[in-house]
Order: sequence, then structure tokens, then C-alpha cells
Amino acid sequence: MAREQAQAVPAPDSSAHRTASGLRRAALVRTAGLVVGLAVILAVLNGLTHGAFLRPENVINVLRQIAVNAILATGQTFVIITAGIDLSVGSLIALTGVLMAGTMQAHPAVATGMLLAVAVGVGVGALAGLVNGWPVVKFGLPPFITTLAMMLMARGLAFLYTHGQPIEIDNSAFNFAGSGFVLPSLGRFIGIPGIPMPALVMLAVVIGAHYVLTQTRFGRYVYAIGGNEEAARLSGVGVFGVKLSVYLISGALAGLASLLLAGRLNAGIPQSGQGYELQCIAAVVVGGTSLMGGRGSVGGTFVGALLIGMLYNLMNLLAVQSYAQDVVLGAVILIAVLLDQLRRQYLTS
Amino acid sequence: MEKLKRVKVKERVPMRAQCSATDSKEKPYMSHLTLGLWRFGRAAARLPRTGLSCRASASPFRRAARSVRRPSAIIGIGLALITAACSAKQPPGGAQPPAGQTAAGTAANQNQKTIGVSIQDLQAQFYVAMEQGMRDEAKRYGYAITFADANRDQARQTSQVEDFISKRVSAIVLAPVDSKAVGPAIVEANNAGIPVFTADIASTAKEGTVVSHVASDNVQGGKVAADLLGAALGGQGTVAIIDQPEVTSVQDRVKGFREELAAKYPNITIVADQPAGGDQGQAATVMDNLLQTYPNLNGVFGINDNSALGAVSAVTVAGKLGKIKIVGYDATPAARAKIDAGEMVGDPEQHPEEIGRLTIDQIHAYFTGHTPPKVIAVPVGAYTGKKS
Repeated sequence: MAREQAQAVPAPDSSAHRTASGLRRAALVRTAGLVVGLAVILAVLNGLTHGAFLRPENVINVLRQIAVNAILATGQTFVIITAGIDLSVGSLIALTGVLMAGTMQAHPAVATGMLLAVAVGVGVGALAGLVNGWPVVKFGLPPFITTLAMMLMARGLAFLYTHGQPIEIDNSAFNFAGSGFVLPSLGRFIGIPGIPMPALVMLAVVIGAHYVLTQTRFGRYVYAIGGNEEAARLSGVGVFGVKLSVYLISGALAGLASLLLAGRLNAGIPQSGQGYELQCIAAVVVGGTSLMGGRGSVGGTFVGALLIGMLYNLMNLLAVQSYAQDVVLGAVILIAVLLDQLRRQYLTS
Repeated sequence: MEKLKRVKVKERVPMRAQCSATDSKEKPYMSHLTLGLWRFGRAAARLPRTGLSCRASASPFRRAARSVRRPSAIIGIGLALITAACSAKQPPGGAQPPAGQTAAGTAANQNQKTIGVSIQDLQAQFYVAMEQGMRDEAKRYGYAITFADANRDQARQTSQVEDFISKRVSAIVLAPVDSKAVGPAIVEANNAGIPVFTADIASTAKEGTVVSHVASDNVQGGKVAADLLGAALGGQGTVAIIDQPEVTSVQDRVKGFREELAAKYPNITIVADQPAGGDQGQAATVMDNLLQTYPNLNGVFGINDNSALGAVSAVTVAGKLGKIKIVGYDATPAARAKIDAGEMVGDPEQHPEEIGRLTIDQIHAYFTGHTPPKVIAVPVGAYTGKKS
């Protein structure tokens, strides 16, 4: 299966593996192979659920359900490629969510409320990202520690701000972003209410992030820092700014993901987002990004998030007992990391 | 202790029973697919070996291709194992029957209605007991029933409702994670024409229609707690509440507690009402602080047993065990042990199995063309120690 896919791509010349385009092509082939493998498995699983799994309404269900995790994981990919980690995103979801809800309660007008809320949500997320990144780049603190501290602070602030109570959101534009559908006429054509907004936002983020990582100087610097920070610095890469930026991106995307989540639940909830940091790290790792840094892709991360989302959906459709679901998810993550290790040993031998 | 054991044993039995009921029908179909996946994985696994011979001419594209084969191999094998495990667990009526079955089998399966249940936290003893009550009653009526654990995450519960809609279940039962934020999920089920029932925790969202809500009468439960504490204190003294004010059922408990104290025990004053998130560790900390602030405190009402047990440990450390009267809520096995040992006064006792059974009864009434009442309040009893 994978071999056919690979042979369809023209072989580059022998020195191509040294060039950026050769690297990109290799990454493309790798991603394409994963996608084809998935397609076969999907068809089989569809049979197991007697057609419920690939029914259009269920496909859009899954896309909508993975949006939050995929966006978080996209930000996390930037951080992990620089060999960092961001543990604060789950708590930032809660903090930005309740702040956005509070903003909209203070500004009931639909348009101003929505605009202010987005500014507050993404702004506070980005600010928190800066607070995460600054001690890392300035004083060399481990990102594990700074983001763990942010995780605790953001969660605490969310509870302080709300006194533990959820804040209702009554803003039609905001709720549309979380649970609305666009192009209903196209949707009716295949029997769905339309394309879910969260899925659209997710695709925009993933495509944008993919472009930034692969097509811009900033993106290449991110890889360079992850591969060898000292070498990157000596080559004139502005390590300080780039590393600070990846934490800022992760924080801002957490704010955006929070917008979708709060819009979906019509509420800002201080308890929300618990454990999401680990879910999105799982998606990144399953997508083939190395926790050691220097290697990975947003495309892979998206596939990772999709795989995890489909597994949950599938296990619900197959009525797998809830306790068993966590066992399966854990096994999938273990297999993915094992793969990462095996493949690297294989390539270097 | 005895109760804990019973629940655990019962938990497993229905799963096996369900498997054996469907084994004859489902297994051949499933094992074909599993076998196919297994073979796909094995075949893919073999590919790298042939790839090794081309190593001399290794180009980046070949390298990439090699690295593709192994992931797909392992993912293939992994998913084969997963689906094998899943299909072995699939309960009857979880989906339409596969093609090629006998007419009789098909008819039986089509008539069977499936109920999808999403519970806010299946790690809690209370909900495990409620699940058991639902399972037993569904079996009695011949309904298939599937449970999903929302793990205290409202977004996850909403996703589970969507999965139930995809699965086209006949009814959905929710024990909501968040009384307000559950609204959009209920609306989605309403739009799909699937009736929604709630158990234990009500939806207070503006939107969304719930057919019937079954829960303990928590106001009355709060009154039971007040009576237990009031009697133990002889109608005199100061008490504190270890609270969790964000939960509606707890708000009702505290309301009933305050009403009953004010009406029947005017000489008891509530000096403090502090939140501890229903968490044992936090409750112990809160209780420590209360003991410092109010050295003459006589009694404590913990809004659930975790809160009460946290208070018990703090009071034990302070050496005031027995002097400070503690009442919890729920009568979990751990709290029963404390009550039996005289370290706690007693507990209002909910009947989660009964809540589960009554919920399924309402669904049955709905399926058979009746209109179940909007709210069913299940009375709360009192546990004051092992009956000798």
C-alpha cells in the first residue's frame, strides 16, 4: 500500500536529500503514506459500525470534536519542535474562556462583545505565552517548570474570577463560532446541516501554521533551534525572539481554541480544559513530532489529533466500556512513541 | 464494605452476558475484518525487509518510503487488536444487524431500542451504583444500553451526545457535568428527534427540552442532615458547613439544611460556610482553618462524604474526635465505616440504584406512549450505623 504510494512520486536525484525540497518531499511522502493507511483502516472500521462511522453527519461530528485539540496541538507543535513543552494550555482554555464570558456579560451588544471577547481571549493567551517563554529564553529555566507554574496560576485565576461558577454566554455571534454551520445549502446536498465553524477555523489554523513552519524563514529557524540551539545561535538565528514567539503562538492559539469551546458550550467554565494539555501533547507525539525537538510537522499533528478523535468516536459508536477507552488511548500513544524511536534508530543505522 | 463488593461483582457480569448473547451472531463477521486488518499489518511489516536490499541505492525518497511502511504496519496491527477487543465487547443492538442474517434475528434486533447514557463521572461510587440500577432495569424491559464516562468534562459529554446521535439511539440519558453548559448538547439531541432524560443533576440551561428528570430530593436530604446534627447536639451549639456552592444539588442540600435548622433548632447557629470543592484533601485544610478560627465549634455538615471525611481527618489530628459532631451526605462505604465506628453521627442516604431504575422506567413509559412527569423526586433516607 505504502509502496505504491511512494512509487507514484518521482525519485529526486541523489543529492536531493540535502536540500530543503528533498526534505519536504520526504515529509510529504511520509504524511501521504499515513493518510492512505488511515483510509484503508477507516473503510474497514466503517463496516464494523455498520456504516455509522463514515456517515457524513458523523464525519462532521468528529471534525467538530477534534477542533479544540487540533488547534492546541498545532501551537504545541511549534513549542515541541524547539524541544520545549507547554503544559499551561489546558488551564489557559479555562482562564481565557471565563474572561471572554465575563467580557461579553459586560458588553451585551453582539458585535462589540464578540470583538472585545476575541481580543481579550487571544490577547490574554498570547500574554500568558510571553510569561511562559520569557524565563525560558532569558534565564534558561526549563519550560516544563514555567508552563507548569502558568498551568497552576491560570487555573487558580479562572476560579478566582468566577468563584467556581460557570458564566453563561448569550452572544449569538460567539455561539455561532463555536456551534454554527456555514454553507447550509451545500450541506443539505449531502445530508448535513453544513460545515461546522470550529472545523473551518481548525483547517485555517492548520494550513496557516503549516505554511509558516515550512515556507517562512521563521519556520526554518524553529526547526534549527530544535535541532541544535547553539549551532542556530552561532549561525545568526535570533534564538531569543523565535523561542519567545513559539510560546506566544501556543498561548494565543489556546485563546482561540477556548473561543470555540466556550462558544460550543455557551458558557465560560473554570473547570474546563482539565487534562487538555496532555491530550494535545499526545496528538503531537502520535503525529510523529519528536519530543527531543528539531523534527515534526503540523500535518502530522493534525493526523494525530484526527486519529485520537476518531478513536474516541469509534469507541463510543462500538459501545466500548468507558474504562477501556483510556486503556486503548494510552496504548495508541505508547505505540506512536515507540514508532518514533524505532524509526530514528532505523534511519541512523 | 459489603455494598462495595456487590457493586463490583455485578459490574462485570452483564458485560459477559452481553457478549455471549451476541457471540454467535457477531463473531464471524467481526473476526473476518479483524483478520483482514491483521494481515494488512503483517504484510506491511514484511515490506521493510525487501527494502533493505535496495539500501545501497538509498535515496531520501526510499528512506521516507521505508519509514512509511513501519508506521502503517504497526498501526494496522494495533488497530486490528483494538477492533478485535472492541468487537468482542459490543453489546447487542448497538447498531443495525449485519447483512445475511436470518429474518428472525433481524426482526428481534430491529425492535430492540438502544439507550445511550452519558454520566459525568463514572469513577464515583454513586454513579457506578446508578449505572447498575439502569443496567438492571433496561435488561428487564429488553432495551440495549450503553454508557459513556464524561470524566467531568462538559465538552467530552457534548461529544458523547453527538456520538449517540450518530449511532441513532432511541433515547439519551444525561447526568450533566455542568447544569448550564449541557444546554447545547440537549438542543442537538432535540433537533435529531431523540428524547433526552436527566438523572441526578438537572439541566438549568434556557434552551433544550428534557422529557423527565429523576433525582434525589436534595432539599429534603439537607433537612435529614439538619435533623441528624440537631439531635446529636441536643439542639445547642455552633456548626459549620463545608460547601461546594457551584453544584445545584449541593445548593439544595444546604438550603434544606438551613431551613430545617432555622425551623426546628433555633439555638444552633451556623458560624461558617466554606467551599472545599467536594474534595477530601481540600476539606481537611478548610477544617484545619475552621478549628483555628472557631475553637468552640460543635458540629460540621459536609455536603458530601469526601467533605465529611476530610473534616474527620482534620478533627482526628486536632484530637477533638467525638467532641465535634460530623454529618456527611451519601453514605458511601468509607463514610459508613466511620459512622459504624462512631466517628461520624450519620448520613443522609441517597438511593442511586433507585434513581437509575426510575429513569429507565420513565423512558419505558415514554416509549409506550405515556407522558412521564417532568420531575421525579426520590426520597432520601438516613444512615445512622449498622443495624444490629
